[in-house]
Amino acid sequence: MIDSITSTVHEKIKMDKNNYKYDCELLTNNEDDLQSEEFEETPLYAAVLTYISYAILCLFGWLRDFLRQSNIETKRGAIDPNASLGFVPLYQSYESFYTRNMYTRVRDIFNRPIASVPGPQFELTERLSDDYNWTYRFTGKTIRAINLGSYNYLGFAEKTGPCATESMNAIKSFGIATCSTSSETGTQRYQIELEQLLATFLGVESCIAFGMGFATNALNIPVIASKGDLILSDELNHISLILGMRLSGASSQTFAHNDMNDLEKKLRAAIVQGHPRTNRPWKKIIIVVEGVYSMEGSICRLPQLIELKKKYKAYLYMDEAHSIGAMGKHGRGIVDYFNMDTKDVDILMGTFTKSFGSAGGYIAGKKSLIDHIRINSHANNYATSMSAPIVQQIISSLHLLSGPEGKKRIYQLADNTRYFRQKLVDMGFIIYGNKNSPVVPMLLYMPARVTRFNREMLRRGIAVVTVGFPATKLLEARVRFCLSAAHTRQMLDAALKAIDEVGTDISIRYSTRHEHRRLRDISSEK
Amino acid sequence: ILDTYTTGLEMFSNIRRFFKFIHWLYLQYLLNTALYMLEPWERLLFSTLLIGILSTAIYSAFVFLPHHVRSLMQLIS
Repeated sequence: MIDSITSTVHEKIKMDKNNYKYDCELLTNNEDDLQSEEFEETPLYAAVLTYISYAILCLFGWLRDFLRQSNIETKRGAIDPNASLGFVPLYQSYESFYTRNMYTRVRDIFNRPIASVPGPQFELTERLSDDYNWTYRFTGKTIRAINLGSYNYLGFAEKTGPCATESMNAIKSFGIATCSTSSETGTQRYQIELEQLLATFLGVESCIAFGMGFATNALNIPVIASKGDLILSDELNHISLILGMRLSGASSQTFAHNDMNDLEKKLRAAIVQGHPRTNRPWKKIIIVVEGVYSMEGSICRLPQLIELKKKYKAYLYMDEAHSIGAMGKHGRGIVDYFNMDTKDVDILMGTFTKSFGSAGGYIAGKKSLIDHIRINSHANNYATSMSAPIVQQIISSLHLLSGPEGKKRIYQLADNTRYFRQKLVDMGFIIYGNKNSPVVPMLLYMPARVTRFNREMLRRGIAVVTVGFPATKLLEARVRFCLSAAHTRQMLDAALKAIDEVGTDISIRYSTRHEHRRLRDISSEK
Repeated sequence: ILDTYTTGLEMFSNIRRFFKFIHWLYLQYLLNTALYMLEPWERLLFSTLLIGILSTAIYSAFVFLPHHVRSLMQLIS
């Protein structure tokens, strides 16, 4: 049994409900701890004020809905065409209430169109609204801003450079469309080259690539799991994994986020009790986790997972969408980060969208598994195969990653991550997650603070992504910074200065574990 | 004994800081109650209701509390 025996971490870090302390007598220093994560609890006053804000928004939502219903105000949103004919109403769920009355009021902070390549700095189109965000007009001007929202972890989103040149040459040799599925006449020479290159990069036997990352998860889990299997998935898994689990027809249970004790309990219960009513044994048990969870910034507990899976003979499926390329000494993902053997993880999945600057997804593992997927997967048999410039971009970036240029990018990303996170934590903001993950979620809690933060940061020339209710829990609205290897120290300093100013202006320094300090006080200490 | 007087110029910056502080307090009120996201007439409506309720409560306290406290003391003694 995996027990938490001793905790040798520094006294200042308290135990969270999610903070699992494992047998770590080998670790003497918190710096060496690859799994040190912090999830500070919500302060009471922030929770109360957030609930009050939502209550007031709800009241005004009812008032406006009443005014729209009684035709005192014109209806601006979606109108039910058959309302007067006695049909069952189309729009009654809470989500459309939320969309009409809370989301639309501040819609200008979401879904901004961009006007250039999403590198470390980019151009946003300026759009203004005269009627409180129901309609927009574009002024034609663009705003130049530092990009802290794109998943550009290794900085490959660039329009000049070796990758871009080779992609353009690939169009000249192969054209753009393959006009067929992979299983018919769509498997091109570059696809085979990509799959072999990716297999050697990851250190696995074989690999298969698809055109869409979401579809890789949603259409390939039904290939490996079917009725009679059990899937144990983390509660914060991405919707593509959940869709794949539902499509497969297998039974699924969720375990608490990164909680290995809970997972072990469920594994033991599943093996002992079997199916719910008939008590027949499960055909196979698959554990589905993600490498880096993008909303929390936490990293899955791979050493403990492999220990559990070997003990209980389950299979492990790891979705490395955000961690491939970004984590690990050589950029090979979470397996590289923990220095473990790739043969222990049965199915490795990843996407090319985030670190490689391209599009698509892959699955890697043993050759027998990949051959089975190649024959039986819907994504292979019915989806058009990947296009030449996209594959060439991935091949070029993989070649770059194996060389010295790639090492420079990986070290720059790790450096940026540590620097940015340390400064934010020192200033007194609540930051979730592992200190090595390039996704930095900072909690803001109240919806009005979220919108003010976003607008004020844009006014200072920094574009951030703020997320609120449906994507996160109701209380925990946050801003998510995605760092990149292409960000220079000056850009990060400009961003930190802006965060410091805006943070003081709207008072979002909630942390009770770290002192609240201004940036100039931290810089003058060092 | 050292007396310090503010010169004319310092008084201007103090007044400006004071107004900035009032503006900051107003912003905190808007942010904490989510009025920041609402339209101006909704802000007016909510603020009017809030000030009305608060002022009624304070006025009632001023008028009736002394009498209530006195009769409570008489009941106890």
